Amino acid sequence: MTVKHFGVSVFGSIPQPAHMPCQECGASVPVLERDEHVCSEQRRLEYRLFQLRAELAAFDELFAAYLESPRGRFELWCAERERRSKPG
Amino acid sequence: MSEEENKAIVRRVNDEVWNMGNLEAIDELIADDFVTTVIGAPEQIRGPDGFRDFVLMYRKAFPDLRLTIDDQIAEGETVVTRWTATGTHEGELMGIPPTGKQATTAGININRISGGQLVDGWGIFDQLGLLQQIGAVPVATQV
Repeated sequence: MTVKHFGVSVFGSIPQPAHMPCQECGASVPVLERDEHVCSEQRRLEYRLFQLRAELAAFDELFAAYLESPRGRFELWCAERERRSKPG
Repeated sequence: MSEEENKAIVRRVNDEVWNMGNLEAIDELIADDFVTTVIGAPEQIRGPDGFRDFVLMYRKAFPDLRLTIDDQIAEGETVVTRWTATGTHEGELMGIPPTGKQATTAGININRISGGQLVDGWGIFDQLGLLQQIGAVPVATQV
């Protein structure tokens, strides 16, 4: 029977997790293999976006509120006029 | 039912309920009087509804949860299952806000199967390691 190595050290020390998330991309990496870990760019991007989700949500709300303001509505009107004036 | 059939019932719970999130399968696979003890949990999990709540708690916290069976041993009605689970912490878990971090934990369940259903159980898994991985408990680097 093959048993994966899950405990770095069991006796005589505080238990340590066998896996830890990569600080760059959040992927679960076996502690004993962390030196060999290479981040996936896709995963790194998703992880960063997840960390910024509150800011992104706040930006969406601020942007929507701006577009409802007099100045935002005027800018929308200008943008629409410019779009219509372009040929094609 | 044979020991192999009992092992297959446990595999169905893992694949259909835990991995695919098919909560309707719980009514077929979990006995009405099912009781299981999870070491560290504040109370026993009882019946299909209790099991559904337990699965939902973890699947909401880790929507991409993947549970893999590493080993199974059966004797009579009893099935012992050693498993590993990995998932991304995208939902609140016991008040811990989502971190986007992936976590891996492992555990052992001992279940008794009767009539094609899990009737009781006992389980333990590395809850400390899970909490350490999502940053809820610090990792000690030195003793």
